Amino acid sequence: MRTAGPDLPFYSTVPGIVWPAFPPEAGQAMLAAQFQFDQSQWWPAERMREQQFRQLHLLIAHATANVPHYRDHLMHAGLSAPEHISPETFLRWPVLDKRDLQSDAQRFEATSMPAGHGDWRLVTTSGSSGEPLRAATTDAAIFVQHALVLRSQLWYGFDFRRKHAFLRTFGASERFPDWGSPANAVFRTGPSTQTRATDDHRTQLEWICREKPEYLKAHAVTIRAILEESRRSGRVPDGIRAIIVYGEMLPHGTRELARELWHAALFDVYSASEVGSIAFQCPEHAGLHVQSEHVYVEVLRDDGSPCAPGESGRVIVTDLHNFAMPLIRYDLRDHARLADPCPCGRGLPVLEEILGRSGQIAVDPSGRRFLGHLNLGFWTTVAPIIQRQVVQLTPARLEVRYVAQRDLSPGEQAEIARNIRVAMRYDYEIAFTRVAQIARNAGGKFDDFVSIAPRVGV
Amino acid sequence: MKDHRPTSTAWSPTRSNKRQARTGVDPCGPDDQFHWCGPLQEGSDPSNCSYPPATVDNPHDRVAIPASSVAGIGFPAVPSARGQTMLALLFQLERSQWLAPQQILGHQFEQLRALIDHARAQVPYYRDHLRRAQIFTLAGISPASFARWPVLSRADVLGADEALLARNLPAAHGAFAWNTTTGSTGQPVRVATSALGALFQDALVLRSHFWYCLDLSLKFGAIRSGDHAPSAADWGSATRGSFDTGPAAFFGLSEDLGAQLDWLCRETPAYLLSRGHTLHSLIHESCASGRRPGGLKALLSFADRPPDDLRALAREVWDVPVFDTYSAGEFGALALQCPDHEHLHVQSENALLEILREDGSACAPGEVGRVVVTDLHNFAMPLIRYAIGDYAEAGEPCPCGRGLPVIRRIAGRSSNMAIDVNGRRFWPLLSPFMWIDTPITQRQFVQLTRARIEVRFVAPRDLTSAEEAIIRKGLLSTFRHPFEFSFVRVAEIARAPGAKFEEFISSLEGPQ
Repeated sequence: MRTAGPDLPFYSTVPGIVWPAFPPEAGQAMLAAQFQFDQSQWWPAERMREQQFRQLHLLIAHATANVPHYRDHLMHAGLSAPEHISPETFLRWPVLDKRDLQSDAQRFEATSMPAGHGDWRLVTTSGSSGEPLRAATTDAAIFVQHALVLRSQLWYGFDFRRKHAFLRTFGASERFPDWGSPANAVFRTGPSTQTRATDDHRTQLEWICREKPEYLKAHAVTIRAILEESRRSGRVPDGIRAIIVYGEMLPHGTRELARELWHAALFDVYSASEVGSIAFQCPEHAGLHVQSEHVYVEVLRDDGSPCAPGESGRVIVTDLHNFAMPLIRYDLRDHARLADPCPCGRGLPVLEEILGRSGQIAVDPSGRRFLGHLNLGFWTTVAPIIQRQVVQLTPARLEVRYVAQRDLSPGEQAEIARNIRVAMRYDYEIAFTRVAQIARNAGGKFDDFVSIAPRVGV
Repeated sequence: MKDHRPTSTAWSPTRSNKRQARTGVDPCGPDDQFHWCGPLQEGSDPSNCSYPPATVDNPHDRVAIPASSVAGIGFPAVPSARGQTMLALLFQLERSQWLAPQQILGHQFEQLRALIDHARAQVPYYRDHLRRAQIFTLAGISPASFARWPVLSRADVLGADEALLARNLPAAHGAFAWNTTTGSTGQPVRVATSALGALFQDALVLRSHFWYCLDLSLKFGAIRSGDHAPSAADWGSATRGSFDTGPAAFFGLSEDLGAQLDWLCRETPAYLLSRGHTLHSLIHESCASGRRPGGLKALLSFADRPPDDLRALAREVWDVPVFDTYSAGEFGALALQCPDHEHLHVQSENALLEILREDGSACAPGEVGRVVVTDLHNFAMPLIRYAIGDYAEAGEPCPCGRGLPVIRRIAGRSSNMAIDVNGRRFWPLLSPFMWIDTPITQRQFVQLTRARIEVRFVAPRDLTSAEEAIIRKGLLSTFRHPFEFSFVRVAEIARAPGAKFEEFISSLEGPQ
């Protein structure tokens, strides 16, 4: 027997009609999408793939006819028509590297568009790997992304009447009477408030305690840092029910910290600025469900073949709805581990874990690959290190670059090296270099871990 | 604080693809820039979207794919404006059915207050009515106070004439539309509704398609009254704009039974919609003639209470399920059969349906009472607490988990009520099994006096005395009173065009 979900506060604009509601046109479009998502999430995997390829054929027909970069791609893949593309033959379609996009973005822009996709939107982004990117998209493609944002709020059982807070990359601190798009097109929402993601974490924690939101959305590392600050200072905000994190890999232990400190549920969203939402944490389990209604995701081994459940590989993504600048088999430079189907019953594929950017993936000489995650407590307890970065030089050699007032003693170096070896589960050769500063990546962010070890190409 | 709700001014699909700068697609929100709703115009040309429409292999996968109106976008679909409206309603209906009964009632009263507010301001009948009643203030309408609202009879509706029509209708409700209903009294009632009211009725039809996992790509057939073309390219207004469907074929309810079966065998629809008794007669005719329609997947009965043996017969002879809809011309669908059980769920999102005892109090589960209906969305001619003349048995909450109230069965109309010499009044529960070994294909009981009931039947020959004796024994057990039964073989059991078939009618005069 199914149980009732929350009683949603639908927003009606037709005089006299309260229930069921008549939202404005934008809200009806949003609900029409949600209706479809509610059905499609339960489809068997084959049915979903069939529909994805139905959409992919339309995208490829458009891309090969109107986008210079893709003009000859069908031929390269040995195919004569878009309808011949299947999950198997699609593996022959050339993988798109970010650098191709950066070097000549115009070749990826459609010279002609079918009617109905709305305005053409130019997007400037730091890119998911910190490399600046100029991309184009359409209203129709953004609509799907917004519809997925609403899906995530519905999945996680948000009470739209409550207050929502956002820590945003763009925009100043501000208060709003509602949650903004997409929720406000559909629901009578509570208020929302936002502040800058770039403020210092103590200020952000103070802001949260003052604003008392019940839902919070921010970058994963920002939330982690605020939680750390909360633990350090003992300041705990009242009444946070749930947190959605996105943007970066979720630092280990963040979910547990949110639960223990704030008694809040934490939901992870895997997204990239070029394509938007890619996978959402299952409402009932820890795995992330690929948002197959929007993206076709492949997880590939180094030889280009598809990974089996349990294997990790490169994430290749196709945005099914961006006809302005189609991204077809786009290498996100992320690594993820594919999982078995979810026990929740949804047919959407599951990523067990996002391992990180290719540059953040550590290896050992046996070929084991894993996230070079070293954001652990020992750095500050062992030595007076101000900033540090671990660089993998070869599969067996690491270099610790650090900023400090003085050189580390041999004892301190030995203790840090021991911690690194335990964390990374390999007896690496580790060198220490004191530097004046740690360079930021192209996106202006500091990387804890960088690999410059030779990479096996596909 | 700025309000960044969407305005009614929205983007149109026909305008050029203008380039707009944007600092980034932030999935976080709030975003006051972006409100897109796809095409707003009916009939936008999705000619580039030439990929064949999705088909459905297994209806239980629930994989009906809406039709898209934007070229290049097939999945998820961007339906036409009407399609979006329907799917937006369907999304709400999918959720509201699982709400707790008290939550549903709370929402109904929110909507009821809006309806009464309108009725008081715009409908002369209610304006006077409320002044006379002097018991209602808008804020004060609750289930308890609403129970004191006078019941509107069919005679009141006929007598009120235009006083029940709204002088003004909010523009967003669309134009007036008219329904005429005959009922069993033969006295037609004309009921106005609005385009919006009709839309809600269509949404319930669409809900029924989803509840019963109908494969929309297949052919639909209907035997019904009224003027209609013999065929259509799609299933009609409920699905139009939201789903691509297979074709539909129609045939007249008053046509000869043999001709109806010929039509059914010729058209071979996957789904057949008709009144329960017509479906019942068709199956008997199929048995008698040995002709069986091919490709039939389900029968959809509507309007009147289907014969009790219809399900068993449909399963046995045609191997198909029956899904029943209790509907009335004044309101459209009032209750749909539960997808998992044989009883009916009130469609509370569109109608506040009460089952009342003689003293006006609400029936408890298991009790039979008169059906009183309020259409929550008909602002053109508000029908508030309208007694439609039917009696129904209230049910316990459904084990399926839906919070929609349960009607265990439609007992019938007052004119379908029997009375014995002791004054006991009841709706006869006519067992289908007593007819199995007889040649009877159709029958009707007419109570002539408190002691005498005539059994009119259609059969290829007269009954033998042994058959009559068996039937009499069964009827005694059914009626729990030794009525004097007389058997009359007739060529056909006549009824007015479009009128419901009634298995039991009383010809006794006056209130019973």
